[in-house]
Amino acid sequence: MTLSPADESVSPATGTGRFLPRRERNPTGDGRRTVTATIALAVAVVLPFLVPGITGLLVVAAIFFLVSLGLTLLMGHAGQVSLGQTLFMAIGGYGAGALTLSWHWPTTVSAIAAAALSGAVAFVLGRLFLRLRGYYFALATLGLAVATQSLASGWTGLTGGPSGMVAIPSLQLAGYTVFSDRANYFVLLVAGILAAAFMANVKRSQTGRVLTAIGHDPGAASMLGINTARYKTMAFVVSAVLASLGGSMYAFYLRFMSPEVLSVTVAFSIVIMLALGGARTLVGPLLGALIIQGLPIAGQSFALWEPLVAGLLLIVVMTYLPRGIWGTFTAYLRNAARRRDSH
Amino acid sequence: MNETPLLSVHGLGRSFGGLRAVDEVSFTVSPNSVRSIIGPNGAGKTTLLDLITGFTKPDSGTVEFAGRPISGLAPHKLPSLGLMRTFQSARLVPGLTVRENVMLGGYRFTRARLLSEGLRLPRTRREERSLVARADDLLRFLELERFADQDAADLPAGVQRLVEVARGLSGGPRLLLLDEPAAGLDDTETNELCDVLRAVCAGGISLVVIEHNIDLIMRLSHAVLVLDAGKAIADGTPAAVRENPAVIEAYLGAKA
Repeated sequence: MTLSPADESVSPATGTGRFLPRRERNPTGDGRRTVTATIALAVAVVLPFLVPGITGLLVVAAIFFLVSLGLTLLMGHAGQVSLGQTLFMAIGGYGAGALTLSWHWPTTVSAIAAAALSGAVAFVLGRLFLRLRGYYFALATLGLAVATQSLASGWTGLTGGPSGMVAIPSLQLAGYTVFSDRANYFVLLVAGILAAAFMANVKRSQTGRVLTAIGHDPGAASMLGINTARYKTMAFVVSAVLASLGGSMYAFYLRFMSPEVLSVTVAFSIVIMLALGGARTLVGPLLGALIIQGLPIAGQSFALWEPLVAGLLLIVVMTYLPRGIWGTFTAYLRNAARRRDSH
Repeated sequence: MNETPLLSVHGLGRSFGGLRAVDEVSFTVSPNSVRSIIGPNGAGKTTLLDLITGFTKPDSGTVEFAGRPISGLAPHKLPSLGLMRTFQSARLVPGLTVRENVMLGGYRFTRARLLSEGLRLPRTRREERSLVARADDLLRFLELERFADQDAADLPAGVQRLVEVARGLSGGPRLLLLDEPAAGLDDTETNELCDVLRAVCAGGISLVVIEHNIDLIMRLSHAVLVLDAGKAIADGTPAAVRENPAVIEAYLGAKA
């Protein structure tokens, strides 16, 4: 009986167990999505063989895809901008580096330990910061980015100071040393796909709906019984864990960590990637990472002007396509489908 | 109806600037009953709901729900006690379908956590299925099933408000506070809503309804509270309230 009053024994599990009509009502849409994903995967696999010169760039783009993907729940759904993701990249990078160098921990264990530490730090900071509303949270996290850059240069004992932490070992995976650009790329490709699948599942579950509700109207969300601070903290922890894993991979790939790698500019660029591509989508962070990391190869001669181009691009996208490039594109497809249905 | 009240409000008040928006209002809601709150615009009806649900902090008075004081509790703690509400202008989540919005109402029944959701473990699948089943049952009950897959933001205001009622019910409340559920509905739809709300009440869920539609109030309510300028000026059965001279002057008179 659906309308029975509150009674803990009346759990929704007593419902009539019919299978969930998928969110995509359009059966051809599902097929098209599979085809697109297959083509994208094929391209991703052959790309380093077709254009070997860009593999290094793809590795860095994939690392920043992981980092910005981590922000999609917090920024795309809950509507909170974190400008401080370099802190967690630093914990992941320097942390994993230090654990392997000084304590000789296996690389994978070091990365996981650093990710756990990042999650714990985000949990504590989240409880402090997420009580702040609107742009105060963004400002507080900007403080983290500034502090990170300063600590990376100043805390010489741990980080090696301005000259950086050197001779970090490559990632060891099942007895195999992930050293070449191509090997790093394929490890990151698998990691990226797994992380994207995880996020896609979360987005279409109750947590995804809850975070969307919080981003749209925290007051109404709390009236549904949602503890908004708890969920925002959880989204922040997710962002920290992925940023940390990205940071660890960065350290294992470069075999080096330095304050420039984690500058405030980098912290901004992570948010820019997400905003450019579309913060609420999964393809958005990928597009954003490819665009921002790919700009330098658009012309060596304009390397000096690259921040200007990135800035102008962001201004244009935010003014005319506030949902980001991919967000606008999918919204356009949906509207077109709706128009077709109504005719 | 002399049982222990489900909800009792004592001397609840709140000022904004110099304005006494709600002034020492007291009333009770009996189990299995419909309590209506009427009054001219600006009488303090919505503010009263905000005070009861802790959405706005009262500066005087207490609220007890099911024998337990709830004044000062954070709003998000109320649904698990069995108290839910809807808003005057529907506050559904755009970008989510109607079904997904109603599924959000069942929030308090979900236990699945991030890891289980991200890995799509059986427990999450089970929870999702039962949330869908529950939402679909409610949408059928409110005759909204044809809207289930539409984006909530694309619907007319009247339908959105009904979806909010469905969302409120999906939390399995003992008491549901409804802020102008019939606004934006035509006569046929209002009649249907009246039948639905009666069935809800018969199913053991008490209602507090803020409404302007006097006809609906008279047919639906067991007790009516009349507010004017923040004060309770009458409290009684629909028939008694309708005959009350103060009410006729303040509210019905003003309308005629």
